Amino acid sequence: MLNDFMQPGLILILTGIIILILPKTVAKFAVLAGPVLTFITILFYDCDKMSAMFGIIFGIISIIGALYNLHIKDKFELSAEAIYAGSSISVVFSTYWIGMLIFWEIMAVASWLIVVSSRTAAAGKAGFRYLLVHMLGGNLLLAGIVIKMASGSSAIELLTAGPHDAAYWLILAGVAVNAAIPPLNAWISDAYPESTMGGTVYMGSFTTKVGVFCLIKLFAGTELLLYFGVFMAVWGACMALIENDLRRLFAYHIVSQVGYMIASLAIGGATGIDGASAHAFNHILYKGTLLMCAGTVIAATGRRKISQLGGLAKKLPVTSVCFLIASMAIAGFPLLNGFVSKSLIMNAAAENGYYWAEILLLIASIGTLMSVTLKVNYFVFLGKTDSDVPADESMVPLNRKIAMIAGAVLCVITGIFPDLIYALTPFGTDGHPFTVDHVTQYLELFAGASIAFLMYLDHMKPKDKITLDTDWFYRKPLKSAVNGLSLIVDETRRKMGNGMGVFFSSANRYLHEPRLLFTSKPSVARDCIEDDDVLQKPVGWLIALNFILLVGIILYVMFRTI
Amino acid sequence: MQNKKKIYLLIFIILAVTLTIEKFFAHPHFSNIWNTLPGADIIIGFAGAWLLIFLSKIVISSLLQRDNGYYEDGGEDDAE
Repeated sequence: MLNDFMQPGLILILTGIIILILPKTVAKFAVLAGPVLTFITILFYDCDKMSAMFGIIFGIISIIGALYNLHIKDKFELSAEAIYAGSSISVVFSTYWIGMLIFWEIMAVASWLIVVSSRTAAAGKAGFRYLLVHMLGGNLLLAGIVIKMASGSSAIELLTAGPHDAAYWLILAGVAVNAAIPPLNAWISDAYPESTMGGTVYMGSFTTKVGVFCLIKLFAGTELLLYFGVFMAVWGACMALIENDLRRLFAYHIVSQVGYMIASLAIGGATGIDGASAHAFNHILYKGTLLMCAGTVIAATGRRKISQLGGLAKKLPVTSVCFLIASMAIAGFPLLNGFVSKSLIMNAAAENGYYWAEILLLIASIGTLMSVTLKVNYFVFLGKTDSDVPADESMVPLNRKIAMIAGAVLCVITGIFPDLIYALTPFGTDGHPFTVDHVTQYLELFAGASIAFLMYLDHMKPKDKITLDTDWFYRKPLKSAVNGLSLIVDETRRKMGNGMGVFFSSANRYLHEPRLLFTSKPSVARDCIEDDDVLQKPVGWLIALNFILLVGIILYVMFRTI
Repeated sequence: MQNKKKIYLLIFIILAVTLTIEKFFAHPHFSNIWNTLPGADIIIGFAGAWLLIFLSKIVISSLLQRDNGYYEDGGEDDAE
């Protein structure tokens, strides 16, 4: 069990702590040195192929992310990102339930800190909702793992074939939160746009992929997930198509791409698992690049909505080119990496007879093309806006440009040489991407979709609105219910407090001046207290009352035994 | 967009080329109608795109879109 802790992710977690507590000169060095050291350790770490594949891509994106953030002065954010990356890597290399759980929770807290590190009011609120949802997921996972460990199983194992007991569903629900399976998906579009530019790059690369990794490891071949996966793939693309906020669009798109991975692992088998792993690998590369470019755009222009952007190709050339490459990769253009992994997934669906899934995933590809490649490139980088958008690429730090270029280059290399990826996958399935029918299929698909996009172009611009999601349930009715309940409780407390106050103040009045029980005559002036005639009656009555009571009790005690 | 006609032309040229290549050189791995019929993917692409436009821009948009201040959280601020 010690192995679960002595693994490469620990180096990155320690880096995070170092960044936080040591002076600036050391911290600056650690920001880049930590991920590089972690990556080298991962390359030599002894583990199964799937963990190695995920570990490698996590290592790569940690380095690129650190490069992107190199000029950031906020120790808090840098530390949170390093710990987040480190704990994600640690989950991947865990072989025991307890290790997985501990690092899962660290991941949740670290990612929450990344959300709030932008220090805006919106980030604080979105971060709170994010924390609530992830703590719920963590608790569901905890409950499932506790049941598993109580029944004697301490090592992580495939749960698909086992009994569908409480532990199975609890663990599935807990992992589903991280994988953003609807209806547990709203946190991703809620929180990702509110973080810092570098923060979103990290978050888009880790949480959901760790969720996918655990789904492959625990639930590969579960047919139920196929329906969720296909739904996610199509619905995520639809939501991205109408979204106006640039980073929220990509957050919804993450849901779509994760849907592909989930559909693939649900189909199972060698091709299915390889498809999901390869797609996760590629997704981190191209989504990371897209988020980095989006972050650069937002930082350079000060605007986050597509309706306010436009014509940036000339002003931000490096960003535009990197974005274009990554957006074509995500759609699945031949010679870029998306094409390579999508071939595997389509093969898996077709080989196993899931033709409906194959068609729907093709349609989701079209959705990706339209919502990212065509829509964002056209409305953000080409064309004109109503007002001139301020942007200057010389203001973009060099490390950010290098990071974006690195991401784009990796997309191209892995696209031209798919065997690099196929060699890393667990079963080494060859997707035969560069066959004539595959290439012509995608070219025709995209050409057909582009015609439709062009025809509808005037209406394609996103409206400046928000789209409701499943978080509506805890942001409107649940919020009103909790607020209402709190108000009721508070009112009750106050009224009772008031009531007790009224009771005691009147009781006090009579205890202070008992004669008031008998007479309502106003009290005379103080010096008349000497006058016995005034007080004689009330005092006398009281003494008499006491005396009678005393006699009565004595008589009662004496005579009750009779 | 002024260059629309040019782009349409470009797309049709690409389609013509790919159609010819597919008709003569493609050996589909699977035997369903959408794998074997040349140009089937153009129809899937075109129809699928319109389906998605309908689903997102007409169905989801009319049912679920609200103004920015809907949640009374302060909505979105411009980024720094």
